[in-house]
Amino acid sequence: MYFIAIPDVRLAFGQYFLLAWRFTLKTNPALWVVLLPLLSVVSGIISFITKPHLLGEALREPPLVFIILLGSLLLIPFQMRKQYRRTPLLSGSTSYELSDNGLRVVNEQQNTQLDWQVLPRAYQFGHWLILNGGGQQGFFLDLRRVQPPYAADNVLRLLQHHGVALG
Amino acid sequence: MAAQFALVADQVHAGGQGALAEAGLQVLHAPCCTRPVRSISMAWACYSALSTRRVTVSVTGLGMGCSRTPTVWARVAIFALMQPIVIADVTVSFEEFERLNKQLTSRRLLRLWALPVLSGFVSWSTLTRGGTEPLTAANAVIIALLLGFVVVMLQVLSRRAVRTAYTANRALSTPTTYILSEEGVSIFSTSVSSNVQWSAFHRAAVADGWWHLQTTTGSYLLPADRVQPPASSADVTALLRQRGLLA
Repeated sequence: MYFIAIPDVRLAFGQYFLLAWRFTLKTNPALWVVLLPLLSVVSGIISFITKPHLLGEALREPPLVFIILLGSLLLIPFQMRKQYRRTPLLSGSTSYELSDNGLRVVNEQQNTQLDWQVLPRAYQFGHWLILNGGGQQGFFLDLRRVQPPYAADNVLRLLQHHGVALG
Repeated sequence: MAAQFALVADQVHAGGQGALAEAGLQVLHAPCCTRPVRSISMAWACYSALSTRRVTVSVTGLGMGCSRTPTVWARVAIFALMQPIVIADVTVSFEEFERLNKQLTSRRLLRLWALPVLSGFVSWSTLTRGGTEPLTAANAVIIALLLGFVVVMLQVLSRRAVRTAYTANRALSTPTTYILSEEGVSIFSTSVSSNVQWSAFHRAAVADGWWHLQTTTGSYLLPADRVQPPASSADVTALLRQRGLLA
């Protein structure tokens, strides 16, 4: 019987930002349209850099559309940062234990034991494994922190054994 | 659920046996292990320490029990611990989920209307070159079509999102028992056992006989008609007010 401990997992905001977007775009490809305003903002910024006289014009008569797009794009990381800060599961230290009984999640706010059947899917991005608990709940497991004698392979094999699909 | 756990008969306070029998628990007069438990978190620690899913609950007045599943354990805890508020066997049907979702997210949905407004403004601004040129009839039709498309897509996508959220969250259709205590909320079903402290909850709302508790990582729907006596729904409201979650 496996009893795999992944103690003291910490997720930096930058890491969370990248993982959350990779996860969102992978599970919800329709959200790639979000990149369209990003492209237009980036192309706007590039043209301001390459043609400085355009920036002068823009400052005299601010292009409202550009400002709205830029503002709504900046709002996304701002909201994510707010969510990250008030969620100890993301910004604090969390310990995970994986066994045949399921997943145990312990941090300063919760002590939760979940059977594998409520965790139907997992996603791997580099050394991070995201376990989706349905609803808004997602767990970020750092596979580099798997305690010996086990390694990342054992975690993946355990998930496979309990029918957790790896996306 | 057919429950089986051992209980030391002479440690059960008056009425305890009756309450256990009422809850459908079979009382066996066979002692098992002992360990004093004074709070839910201690009971939880005791439970967690035993990966075999057996637990001992022993509090002044009530005896002890060894349970086989978290649900049974939860029921033991109900009677054993400082009279917490119990909301038993909660399931949420899709229709209820959809209705409550609509009521609870109406304020957030208002924010979503910024999207058609924004896309309307952006297209108007693009087609009239920032308002310097007059809007032709053809361009007005294009804008109207675009707005219509965005509104319809919003409706379709939000409906689909609600359905996806319901099917993804199996806990909603699984009977779940919630125990509200001084320390936090304990959540038990056949597949989940969780102990969440009050500090994790940042908002509560009331809608149509349900409480909606929002934590940083998820939300819970608790129906008022499932509050088990001797507690009442007024006790739940008072507790949520005391915690600053309800106005």
